Amino acid sequence: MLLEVDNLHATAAGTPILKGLSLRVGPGEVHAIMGPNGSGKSTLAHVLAGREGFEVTAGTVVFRGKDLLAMSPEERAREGLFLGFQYPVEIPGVNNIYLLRAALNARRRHRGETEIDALQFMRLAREKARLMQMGEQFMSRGVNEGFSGGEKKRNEIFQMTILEPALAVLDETDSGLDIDALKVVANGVNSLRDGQRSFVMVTHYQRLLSHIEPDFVHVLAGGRIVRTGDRSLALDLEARGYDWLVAASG
Amino acid sequence: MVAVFDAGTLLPAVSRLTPPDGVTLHRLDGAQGRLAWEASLEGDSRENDNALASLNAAMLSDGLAIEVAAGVTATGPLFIIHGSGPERMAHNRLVLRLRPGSSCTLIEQQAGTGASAANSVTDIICERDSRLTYIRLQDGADAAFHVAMQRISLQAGAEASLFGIDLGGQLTRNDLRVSLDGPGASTDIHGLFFADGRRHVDNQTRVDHRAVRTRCSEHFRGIADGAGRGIFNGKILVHRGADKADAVLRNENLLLSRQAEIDTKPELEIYADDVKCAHGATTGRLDPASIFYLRSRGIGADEARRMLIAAFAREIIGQLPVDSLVDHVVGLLGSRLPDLADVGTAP
Ligand SMILES: Nc1ncnc2c1ncn2[C@@H]1O[C@H](COP(=O)(O)OP(=O)(O)O)[C@@H](O)[C@H]1O
Ligand SMILES: [Mg+2]
Repeated sequence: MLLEVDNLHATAAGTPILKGLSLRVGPGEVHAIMGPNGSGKSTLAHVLAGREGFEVTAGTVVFRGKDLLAMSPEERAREGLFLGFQYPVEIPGVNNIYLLRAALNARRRHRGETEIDALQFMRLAREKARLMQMGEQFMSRGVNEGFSGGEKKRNEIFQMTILEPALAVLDETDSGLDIDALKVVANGVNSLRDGQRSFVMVTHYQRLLSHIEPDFVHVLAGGRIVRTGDRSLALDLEARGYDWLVAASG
Repeated sequence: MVAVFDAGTLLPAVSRLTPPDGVTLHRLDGAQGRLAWEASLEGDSRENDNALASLNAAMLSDGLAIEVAAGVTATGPLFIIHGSGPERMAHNRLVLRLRPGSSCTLIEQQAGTGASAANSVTDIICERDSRLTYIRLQDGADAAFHVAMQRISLQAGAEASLFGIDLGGQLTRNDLRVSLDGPGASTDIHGLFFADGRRHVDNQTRVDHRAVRTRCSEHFRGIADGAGRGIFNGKILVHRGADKADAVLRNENLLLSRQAEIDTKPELEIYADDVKCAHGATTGRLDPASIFYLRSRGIGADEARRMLIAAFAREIIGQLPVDSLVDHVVGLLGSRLPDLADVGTAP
């Protein structure tokens, strides 16, 4: 297993949000997590990435055989975890490309690899920017500075294609994208699929899943996974909403 | 041109005193020094209401008066370095006059080593339609004392872009006075200060709008860490008759520790009609969401904080007109950041 989440309980500001969540992700798998607003999807993503402000009160998370919860956020990233934020922050003054090169080199050092030089990196960045249909002026701006909602999401995937994580958790990366942007984002994700890398995609819409075929679809409600199925579950959810499941799971 | 002073005395041997075409230099030393100084000011009334400026005038023993001839664009920056060794006191004096339609860039670096003390006065007269870029960079030792005053007057149509960057020094007090004397005179003022350890940086600025259609945009940023203390008092005065003046004053401060303190007082006093004025000040801490974003990409916690501090400073430093200088100053600040005590910790 690449990721094993077992009976995870987490609170935010003392309020229980995740209440016994379990999830196993194998190499090369694509998992979709759907669920009503406020059910804890972003909380799960943040707890996996190590955000302060959430307290894990019970349960374990093992990532590539190691205790994920014992690691700092940067260690998790260097171990190959990537979080695509639902709301990426704007960081004026920190250059997008500068950040990415520093991030990639931190990862390479962690793995005992040599650092990438500026020239090699620019070649890589240009190639990925083309894939994500991002102009060069995009890359040289401050992180997400002045980006539209859709541009921010594309930038998240751009970063992911450069960092090449073992596991990407993408939190509503498809929200607010038009059909063309959605295709670009799906292209970016699919370009990384190699039978080893895995994806956990939080989404409200099954339309993303017609571009990125999931192996499993989970429904998160009330802080737990209440149903797991295949692609057809996403279609059911789209047709019937969540109420029947939430009611059935009591 | 590079002029190097040590404890207030010009060192011709390590200077390059050949001025660019159209620029003349007068040394303000010896028996003729005082006369030359007074002549360079051309009776421009400099009320010595400041005790340290008066002391500077009384102690005058060396300095430079620079003049850029009418219509001349001086090639390359005029670079003045005020150094001072430990236990020494320097009285630095500089006069720059830009004749009508001329332009130049003046860089004044103040860098005392050890427990030195410097008292610097810089007078700049920008005549009609001249263009000035003035950069003051203070990067003294942590034990050094720096007191400085710049009095800058702008005649009709003159424009001045002014930078004041204070990175070091035990005790720093800087007075910037800009007088917009002629119609259409305009200035952009960019300030940055950094106080860590037990260091104290005090910036007092005053801009006088004395003529119609004068414009001022002033932007100061301060960073304090450890038990450092910063003060920013910025005053803009729009005098009677200075109608259609346009003035903006902004100050943003970043506190990196619980004990760090920055006091700010932006002030606008307006006695004219039809003016456009705004001012505001904020003081905050590093944004935890931004720190987390960077860490989630694999950047270490300390490095993430350093990046954000540099980004905050870059809003000012990035305005410097010379790219190599931007990198240089970012580097100077960066070299001071490893010492950060408890940077970024929530209060
Ligand atoms: N930092 C926080 N402090 C307090 N409550 C929070 C915090 N973050 C999230 N919550 C609460 O946790 C619940 C789940 O939120 P979230 O994980 O963002 O849901 P989703 O992403 O599924 O819409 C919501 O009720 C939300 O208000
Ligand atoms: Mg969410």
